[in-house]
Amino acid sequence: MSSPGAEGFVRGIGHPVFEPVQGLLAAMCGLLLGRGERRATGFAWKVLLGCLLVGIIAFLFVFKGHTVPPVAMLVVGALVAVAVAAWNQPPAWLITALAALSGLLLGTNAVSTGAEGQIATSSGALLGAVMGIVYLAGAALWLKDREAKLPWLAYVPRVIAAWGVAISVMLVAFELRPVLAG
Amino acid sequence: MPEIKPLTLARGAGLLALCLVCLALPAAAHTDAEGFQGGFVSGFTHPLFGWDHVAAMVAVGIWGAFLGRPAIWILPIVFPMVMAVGGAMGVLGVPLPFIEPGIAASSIVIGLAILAAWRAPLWLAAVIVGVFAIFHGHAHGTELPEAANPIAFAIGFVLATGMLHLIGIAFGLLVDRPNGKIALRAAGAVIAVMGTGFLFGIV
Repeated sequence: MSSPGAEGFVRGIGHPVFEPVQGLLAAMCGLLLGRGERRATGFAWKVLLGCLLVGIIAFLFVFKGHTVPPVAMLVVGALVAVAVAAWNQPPAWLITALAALSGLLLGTNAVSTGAEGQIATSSGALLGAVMGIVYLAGAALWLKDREAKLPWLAYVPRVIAAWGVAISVMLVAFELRPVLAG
Repeated sequence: MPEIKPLTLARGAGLLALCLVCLALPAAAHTDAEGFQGGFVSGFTHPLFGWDHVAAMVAVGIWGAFLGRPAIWILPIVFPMVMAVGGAMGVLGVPLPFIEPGIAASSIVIGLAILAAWRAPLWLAAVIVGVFAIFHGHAHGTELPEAANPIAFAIGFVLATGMLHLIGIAFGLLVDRPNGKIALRAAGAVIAVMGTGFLFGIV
């Protein structure tokens, strides 16, 4: 026996995986939060969660289920990835600003199912995005804890982020190609 | 600048084996795959089917290892980021002159840098690698198959490039072994000769 809305909730959790543009932004955001100085990122986490909630409320009640264009998520994803790749420990203000932008975009890009079960599906999407961010942030922290013994581990998230930048930039070009071609 | 800690031979061999496993081609029975899988395979194999690209990617990894930390990781960070800009230019049809000579020159210049054991300053090494990355990216972007799934293609393409860098780094770790420097400088000579062959259309 299934509860009403459960199917949409589960579908929402998997949304970042089946929507690679969202998954990419969530993954890069996780790496960013995992790379920052711990006390400073505590505030950024709160900002991220607040912006996710604001974004999803806007998605449900202002945009009425219309998602933001993928190119916006890709551009912010590229900026987040550049911040991870360029700095060994990105500055706190930058982490907070990018976490806010990421939260708003991830919130407003929750999966659209029409009126039926929309809140359950959107809640699932919110949880899926947070799970993705927490998982990557945890991985980055795990590496950071071991940097004292193995200093080269500091470069692992930065190399992954460089790949994230490359993928995002290529995808922006793919998105813009038909627009520019008319 | 602190010297990079030498990895054991077993770890280096393990890294190399991991890279080679990742470069394995798909089973022939599934070559008609489309969608995400087809796009990924297409993107992943794209940098591997041009020896001019392979030689330059491996050379970047070897040169980075030769320069030591932090260049060993900074160069593979710089390359994909700048390469993607070139790739985007190619996808969007932005013209760029001297693409093929630029690609050939990358093997020649970086190969000669390894041969000469040139310890370039980090910023200069990053600029050299970045300039050449534009040419490689543009060529990939221009040759993109129309049917490929863009997201899967981009992921496969970037991962393959990263794997080639890792192969170069794995070879480059020989620098701490007895006679390792000689072997690497010989590899640099081979890459430079290959680059000359690409330039004149011999290879």
